Amino acid sequence: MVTETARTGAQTTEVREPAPSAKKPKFRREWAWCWLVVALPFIGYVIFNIVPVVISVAAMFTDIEHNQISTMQWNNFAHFVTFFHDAKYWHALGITLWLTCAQFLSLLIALAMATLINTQVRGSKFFQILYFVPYICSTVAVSIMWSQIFSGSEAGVLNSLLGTEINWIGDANWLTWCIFIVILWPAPGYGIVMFTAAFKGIDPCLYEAAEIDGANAWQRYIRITLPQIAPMTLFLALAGWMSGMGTFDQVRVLAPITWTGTAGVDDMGLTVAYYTYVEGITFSNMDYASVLNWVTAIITMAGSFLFLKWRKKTEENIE
Amino acid sequence: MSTMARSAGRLKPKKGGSRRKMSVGSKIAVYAGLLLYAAFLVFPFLIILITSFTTDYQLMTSTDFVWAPDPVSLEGYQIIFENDPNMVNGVSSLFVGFFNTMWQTLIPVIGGLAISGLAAYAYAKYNFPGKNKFFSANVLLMTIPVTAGTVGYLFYDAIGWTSGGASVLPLIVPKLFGSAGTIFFIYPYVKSVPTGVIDAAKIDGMGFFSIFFRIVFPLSMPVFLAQFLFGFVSGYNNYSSALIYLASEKQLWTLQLALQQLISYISGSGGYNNAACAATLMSMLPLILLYCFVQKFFIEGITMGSVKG
Repeated sequence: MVTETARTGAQTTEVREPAPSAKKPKFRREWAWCWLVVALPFIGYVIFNIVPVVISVAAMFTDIEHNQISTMQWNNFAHFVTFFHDAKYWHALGITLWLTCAQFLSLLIALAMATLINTQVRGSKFFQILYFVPYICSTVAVSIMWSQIFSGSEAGVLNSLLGTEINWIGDANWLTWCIFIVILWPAPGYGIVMFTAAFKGIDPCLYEAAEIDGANAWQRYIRITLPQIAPMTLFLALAGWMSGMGTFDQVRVLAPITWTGTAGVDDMGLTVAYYTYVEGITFSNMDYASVLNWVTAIITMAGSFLFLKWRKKTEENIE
Repeated sequence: MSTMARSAGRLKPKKGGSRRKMSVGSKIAVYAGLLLYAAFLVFPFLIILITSFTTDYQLMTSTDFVWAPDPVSLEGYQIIFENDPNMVNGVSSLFVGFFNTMWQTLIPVIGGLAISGLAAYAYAKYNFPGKNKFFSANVLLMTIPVTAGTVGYLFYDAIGWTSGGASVLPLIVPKLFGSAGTIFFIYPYVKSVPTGVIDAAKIDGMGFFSIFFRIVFPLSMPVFLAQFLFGFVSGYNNYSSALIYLASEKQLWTLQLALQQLISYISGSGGYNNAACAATLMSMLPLILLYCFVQKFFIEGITMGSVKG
């Protein structure tokens, strides 16, 4: 069971049963330290995860004034009734799913660039190092950098290059595209490094055998490389799905709440995490925000579960 | 596992010999692809670098994007140092933010890593009663997602950690307890430290902690360094939890929060784009410099343990 669960992680480790000793070992002082350091993560988990989760779940069924827990009062599922008539959430979910596509698209770019790096032309190592730089830049800084490019004035970079005068960020048709690019730009950095490592992990014998059988470079890529890195691809897709569903920083910077209370023009920058934040923190309606939080969590977990199942299947195919 | 991956890597030059017979045409195509993507990545940096050295006067009067600042001016940088609207005791909010980010990141990252490392060491090298039950529970815990963002707000509010100086605690204290995932990540590396060395140290009278800090930790340095860099970079770039808990405490703002607040002030005032670009550039510089010096550890660190041999 242990190894079964461990397989879902990034690596596999085995736990060996301690050799059954004939006599019961005497108590040692080190054990006290062992128990302490081993128990601490569990204590932390109970205090800072289980307790907040219980409160957050309870909050879904209650009215809370000004986020003060002492005012908690049962409300006959009023928040759920509100939620079923909340078109704003489904709109936000649509935007979030659309922006998550940027994460998946970034995997394609990462695969392409990792393939080019893997040709090992002179200087390919340098490019690999360079490609990782955007990934370590903060989402806030990246958003600001791109907002300079999407500047709406006629002296803005994009307007200047295209000879247009479009207010890219202030236009409901363009805002989501701007955010899409801002997410897409740094995202492949991680995938490039991981794919490059995955390429190195493929057994060279497979290529040699294929070459003897007369497979050309393209056939080798399609029939050997891609299936061999499939588990890595699905791991990256899972990571992309989870960070896509949590998209927040970029929309908070690029689509600040306007004076009409929308996130960017016509709420075109409203993701589910952003909606939850505005509802819970800005408007102090943490009770309703908890409903939003848990619906998002369930959708995210359901998606993750599918990716994990799919990944397991590809691993079985390889073996 | 890692040794297999490494030996596969060592076979590479042999393999590369046959691959290097690429035609000139395909070589040009590869370089074109690599350079095109590099240009796409460098482009935004170049834009803000140029704008940060342009005067506000030239930015406001030009009808095209200013590619060549005339004169090259430090006005943007000067504004951040001297006219920052969010100054704390006369110090620019970016500097206060940088200082806050440092301690608010280093304390939880180092503290949490020490606990995780000690726990991994206990699992790997001691047969304490209940070890297997704890380890199974640890693996299970790792697969359960940790709550993030707004979920914990009501709890932290109830215990008074959302106002005043205490509002920094939700960002620090939970991480001091170590994490199941990190323990699991470190475990195989600590396990590979020869037990004989540890037994010898025990005979010499060294205790639990001194064996860890003087033998196990130095011998498994790469994995700790990798975990440290992960934690440090994500802490340095963290914005959302700082926004949720620290927004009303200006003296505790982290760098990302200070940067975002400064930019929204500047864009509200209309103009002084040079200051916005200068601030963004300065906020990114420390991490990019760190990356330049230790990029080897970054790239090896994130692939560590991810490739099955």
